[in-house]
Amino acid sequence: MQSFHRQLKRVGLACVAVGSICSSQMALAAGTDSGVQINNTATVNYSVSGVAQAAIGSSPTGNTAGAGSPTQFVVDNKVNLTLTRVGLAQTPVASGQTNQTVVYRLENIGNATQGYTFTTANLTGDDFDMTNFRVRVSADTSCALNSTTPPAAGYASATDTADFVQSLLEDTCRWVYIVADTPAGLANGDLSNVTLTAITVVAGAANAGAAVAVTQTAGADTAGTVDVVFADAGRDARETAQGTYVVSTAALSVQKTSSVFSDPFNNTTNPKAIPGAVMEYAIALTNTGGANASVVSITDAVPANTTFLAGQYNGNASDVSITVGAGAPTFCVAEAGGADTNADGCFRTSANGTLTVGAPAVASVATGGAATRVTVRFRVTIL
Amino acid sequence: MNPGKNIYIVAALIACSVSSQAFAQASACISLKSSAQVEEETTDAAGKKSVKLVQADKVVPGTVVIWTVTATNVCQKPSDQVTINNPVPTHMTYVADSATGPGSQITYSLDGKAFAPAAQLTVTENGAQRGATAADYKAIRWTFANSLQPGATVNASFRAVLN
Repeated sequence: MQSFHRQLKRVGLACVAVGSICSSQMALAAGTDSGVQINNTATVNYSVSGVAQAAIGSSPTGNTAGAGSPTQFVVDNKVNLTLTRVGLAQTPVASGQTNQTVVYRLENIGNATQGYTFTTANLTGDDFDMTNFRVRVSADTSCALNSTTPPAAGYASATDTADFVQSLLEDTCRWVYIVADTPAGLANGDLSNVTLTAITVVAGAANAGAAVAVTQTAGADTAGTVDVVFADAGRDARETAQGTYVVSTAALSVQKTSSVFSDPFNNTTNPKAIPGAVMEYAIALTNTGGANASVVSITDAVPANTTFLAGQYNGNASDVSITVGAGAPTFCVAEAGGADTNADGCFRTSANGTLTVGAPAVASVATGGAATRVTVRFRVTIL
Repeated sequence: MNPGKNIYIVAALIACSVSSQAFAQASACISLKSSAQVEEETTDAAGKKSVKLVQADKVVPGTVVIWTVTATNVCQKPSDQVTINNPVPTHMTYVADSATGPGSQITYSLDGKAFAPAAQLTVTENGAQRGATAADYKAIRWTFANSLQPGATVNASFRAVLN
């Protein structure tokens, strides 16, 4: 309780530091509300022939007695907004993927409640165009001014259905998505640049089609009424921000090499591929793409005239060696019964049948080329 | 009892009743007018820019408003010790060094009651004193040294920005 009081005190003191600005900021960071009347009355004290006279208050036209009347004006509607792309600088997409999003934060930093409608555009000069553009306003209203962390859940088609903002209070924001589909047949690294434009409209429209754009009051304005002043960048009550989609797919290459491990006469010193020699096969998977590849399984039939050699690795305990990049090898046991009974990801259809290596022994091939290359090794004997 | 002193008191009472009568008839000596204006930049045909003051109608947060108080002596006698007070309006912040008033000494107040020259105003903050800034001012006072002659006018003005 005591610390709470201390905190309150600190807040109070901080307000003294910035004076009257603070008191208004506590109410409203974007400034005095549209429609508020500002009043001001001056007073004069004087004396005539040495006798103090009653104070006189001012009026707009000149007052000679009493309290007078305030000189006043009405605070006008300052239209100001920002639209900022947040999250990833480039949204990774794969060819043919639907409902891919770029996330924006729309802020009303004016002094009145406004509505907003949106338009999207495909920019030229890039590699491809996204299709089936939609704009969706997040149903998650937890947006905080200047936040760069959009909802972790991302776009949800079931709940994020609004295509316009009916009314947004001053000093509040909304997350807005461009939702679009990716055409098929694109190359890794292809870029598509898009823009989202937010247009200020009169708050409260029933739907985007019924929205009426806010117009600026031209020329001198009328005393006592709320006029509209565009105060945003460009002074057009609209803001545009770019987003980028990048095609990012896995590009997997498979290389199989063989080497002589030993022969019965030379052993491991300069061995030759003679009958009875042990051969080692290495299957290398390299991903040079922009996304990790999930490995379903690697299968390899044991070649004719060879016999699979079990117990060659891990102190004769394992049948298959797996390395990632330059890392230390891991191992698995390839059961010969056609089933992965120990669930390590490896088995053979029969003693000399097809070898299968999958998760968890090899679950994925990460993007990164040679540094993350996955190499699967096994040995056979030449008959 | 000193008869001379009695007479003095009676005279004072008469003077007092005269002045209050004058007030009741709404014929005080000063007409006080307050106006709010904003600067409007205009460009003439020759491309020359000029700033003129127009009535403050189009005002949004951040707009600087020029408040001008005009005092005119509307009676036959000079007015002495003319002092104009003007609070900084609610929702507005005084713009530093913007108060002007030819022939007057300008003082400021942090509470609307006690006035002092800007250099003498301090604010206590976190137990430490600091000089008051324009944002701290709550009221401005113009004290005119010379009498305001019949028909004469004095001006006092300041700028304030809408929060």
